[in-house]
Order: sequence, then structure tokens, then C-alpha cells
Amino acid sequence: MWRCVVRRHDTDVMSLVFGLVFLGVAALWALVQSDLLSLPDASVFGPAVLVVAGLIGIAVTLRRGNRGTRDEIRD
Amino acid sequence: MSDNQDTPQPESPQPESPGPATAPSGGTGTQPLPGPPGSGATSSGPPGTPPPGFPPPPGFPPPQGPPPPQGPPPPPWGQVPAADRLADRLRALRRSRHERIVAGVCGGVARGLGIDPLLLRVITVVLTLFGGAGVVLYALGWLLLPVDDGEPSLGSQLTDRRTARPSSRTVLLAVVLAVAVTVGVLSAFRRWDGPLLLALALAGLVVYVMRDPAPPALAAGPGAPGSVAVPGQFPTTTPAGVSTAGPSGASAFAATAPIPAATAGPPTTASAAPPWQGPPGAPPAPPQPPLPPAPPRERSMLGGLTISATLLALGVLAAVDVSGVNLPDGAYPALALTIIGLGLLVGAWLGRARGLVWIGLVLAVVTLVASVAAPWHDNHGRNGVDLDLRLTSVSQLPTDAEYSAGQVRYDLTAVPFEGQAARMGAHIGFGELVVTVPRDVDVTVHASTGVGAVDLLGADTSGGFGTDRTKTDLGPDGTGGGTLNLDLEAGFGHVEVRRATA
Repeated sequence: MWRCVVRRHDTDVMSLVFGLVFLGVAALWALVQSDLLSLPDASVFGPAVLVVAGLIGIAVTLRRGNRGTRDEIRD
Repeated sequence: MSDNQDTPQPESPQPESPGPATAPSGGTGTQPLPGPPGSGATSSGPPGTPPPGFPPPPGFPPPQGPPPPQGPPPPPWGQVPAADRLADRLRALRRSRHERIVAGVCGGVARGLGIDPLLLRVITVVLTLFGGAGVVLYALGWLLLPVDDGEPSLGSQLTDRRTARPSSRTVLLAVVLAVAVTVGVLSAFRRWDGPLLLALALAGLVVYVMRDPAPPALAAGPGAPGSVAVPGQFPTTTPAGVSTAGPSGASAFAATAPIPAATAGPPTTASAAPPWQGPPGAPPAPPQPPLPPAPPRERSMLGGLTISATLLALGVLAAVDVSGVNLPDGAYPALALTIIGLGLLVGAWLGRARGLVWIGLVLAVVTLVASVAAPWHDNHGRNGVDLDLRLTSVSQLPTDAEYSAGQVRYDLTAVPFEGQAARMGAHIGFGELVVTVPRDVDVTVHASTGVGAVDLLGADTSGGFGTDRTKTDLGPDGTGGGTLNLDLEAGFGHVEVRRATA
């Protein structure tokens, strides 16, 4: 049934990276609010979210190689 | 659209591809493309014809619909010096007629650079929020880039007398854009993003100045030999899109782009060499193939599903809130951001919901502010500093205090400023900086925050991105009581200056 609703496609790196960044920001908020993370730690965690999301994006892009890269250009 | 990968598309030609090796040497003269009469596909060797064996872009002609603007194939980049390649690529940048939100700058430039337009759009919006450079750069592109269907740039239309007189609306638009660019670039000298802005403005000007001179033989209409839009060929030296344009389109373009026939001599002599190695007097710019009209976006339910799920979750959270549970600050945007992020993650493989990025950006900023603001209000910050500094003499004033995170309050009410000219500077990375000054001292405050709010003596409250304020206040006694120069900065947080009442 799910297949009828949405179609599977090659990895969309933009969606992936922004999804990760947004979830990271939400996680940052949750950690700070629950006192698991203090502010100086938060100033490390925030950039770490960006670094991790960027690395994953690079890895996925490289792994995908040339396959389908041109298709990404058209949005 | 990324959902296209599964199906063969009339895909755009690939500018970067050094094609000859990869494709069947479909005779370039066999493409039944529309064009002006009298310029038939007669040979494979007129000027502007790509090397034999150069592949036609796949998918042409499209099965139906309006004929897409024909894209000439790219030159083999490997044969061109790197500097020329860069210049050519810059010159080949176009605004996109089809791939656009405002004026097609991001769509066209992204295409020219081979990157995702969404990325450029996000960068533009973020640069706009942080200082406004995004607007300036967009205006620069709007002003200087020609359109990929052959329309010259606004700047060219204004300054090139050989084109038809531009409409007053065009003139007005160009003037507004030019003013915006000028103001933006002039302000660049005192901004954090100034170097970026100046570099790109310089690049834009170089491209504009280096733009191809108008050919002397403008009168050579579309049907002239060697001119633009010869059907059945891929004229590498002619602009994108002219093949589908009528005579007016071709001539409008001709004002800004080279026509090889104008300077390269008879077709028979120029046929052998690749065009970019042609006579030095006629450096052709490889035009950027225009984007074929975008196929209709594949409908995906993911965006709607995610938005609906977000609203549903917010509703549930509101019910919890109303029922008396004490929610932490920022719970609403954080919950919405979580679901938007999940939706995007799903969209990386299933369906399509890239528009969620915009909603997520807004929610992320709100959530971040809530994250760093809440702990100070609740006094939850444990490792950040939490200082109450009560100073008693001018010599104790810090000139350049640095704090990483937390809340710092300076109480200067006991400092005798009478007859003194003092200054104080303090900076905090994340957090709040509050300075209380005596009743009578004459204060000049310069306060700035990267993200956050500034509240100067209760009279000047502002917030957002890149706030930068200067305010002078003499106090209730007017001039007198000494002077104090305050320089306060918070990277991410809140700067406040209060005046003691007693």
C-alpha cells in the first residue's frame, strides 16, 4: 500500500542532508532542555551536527558515483 | 526532479561532457528541429559545427509538447586552457526561463555550475537573512545574466544601442537592481560577508565586460549562412535557445553574442577547426544549453502527509499543554522540526517533499533560539558562566572581556563616571550580556548580535539576524555625569543595556 503512495527513487542527497540537520537541531533542543547537555557542550554539538550531515552527504554522493547525478540537477 | 531517475527523460545535454567518446555519431544533420527556412541542414561542416561524431543531446527531439530550446553540445573542455574554461563557463551562465522562482537566477546558475538549484536557493535565502548579501547577489545576477532563451541581460538591453529600445518597465527594473547592487557592494566593506560579496560582484563585472561583443553584421538575419539557428546542426558558437526563437529572438540575441560568420570568414575555411580554436578575433563563448521545459512534477503525497502529520502532532501537543503539563520552551517548533526532518529523510528515498526544507529552515532557527535561550531563563545553565559583576571604579571596566557561554550581568551603578571618559567592551558567544549603567552617565552603546535581540535602554529593541545598533543616551540630566562608551556583542543571544533609576 505504501508503494502506491510514494515511489522509490535514488537517494536525494538534499533531502537527506537537510533532514539530518533538522533532526540534529531538534535533538540539540531535546538534550539542552533535558539538561543532558550544557551550553558549552551545545556549542560543540551544533557544529558537529553540520559536520556529520555534511560527511554523510558527501559519502552518499560519492558512493552513488555518476549514477543519476545529472538527474539531481533538475529540481 | 529527483523522481525522474527511474524513467528515461528527454534529458538536457551535458555541458561538461567531453562527449565524442561516448555516443553514436548520430549525424548532426539528422535532427529534425524547427528553424528558419532557407538554412537547411546541408552539410556537417559549416562554422559552428561541432567535431564529427559529437553526440547530439539525448532525447531530442521531444516526443511532443512545445519544442524545447535546442541545446548546442558542449565543447570538449579538455582542449581549452583552464582559465579560458573558467571564463567561458562564467560567460555561459544564464538565467533560466523555466527553472525559476523569481527571475531564474538560481535555477540558471545552478544549471551552469552543475549543482542543485535548491542548494543555491537555500544559500541565497540564508545569505539574505544574515546580512542581506543574498539579495545583492541575486540582483547582480538578474541584472547581468542573459536569459537562456536568448534574451540579452537587462544590463545589455540598457547599454547596448544596437538592441531594440527596452521598455520603460525594463529600464525601471534595471535601475532598481543597479541601485540595490551598488548600495550592497558599497556596504560590503564593513560586513562579515564583504569579501564574498566583493569577489562575486567583481566576477560579475568581469563577465559583463567580457561579454561577447555584438557582431558587426547584425543585419545578417536568422537565415543568413552561418548564422544562428541552423536546423539540423548543433551550432556550438550560437546561443542557447535561438533555434526555437523566431527572427526576433535570434536578432535580439545577436546583439550580445558572437556570430561566427561575421568574423570567421566563409564556411568552407572554418569548418575544420573546433570553434573555440578559431581565429583569435572571434572568441566564441560556449553557450549554455537551455533547460528543456521541465516535465510536470511528479505528484508525491509525502509533502502533504508530512505537513498533516506535523499538524496532527502539534494538535496533540497543544492538548497536552492545555491539560496542564508544563512543556519546555520551544516544544512546539522542536516537535514540528522533528517531523519535518523525518519527512525529509523519508523523501531521500521515497516520494518527494523537498519543499519541506524551507519550513524546516524556519523551524530550525526558532528551535535553536529556544534551545539557547531557555536555560538562562530557568537558570539551568550549569557549565556556562553565570556572573553578577558589580564594579566600583572606572579602572575595573573591561575593555575586551570574552565569555563563551552563559549569562553575564555588569552592574556599573557604583562606578563614579563624573568627569571621566570611560569605555568598556565585552563579548559573549552564546548567551546574555546585561549592563546596568548609572542614572546620569552619558552612554554611547554599540551593540550587535549574530542571532538574537538587542535592547538598548528600553528605547531601542530589535532582534533577528545580524542586528547591529548604535545608540547615544544622555540620561535624564542631559549632558553631564561623565561619558561611557559601551561596545557589546553576543554571537547568539541577547544584549541589554539598562539605566539605573536611582
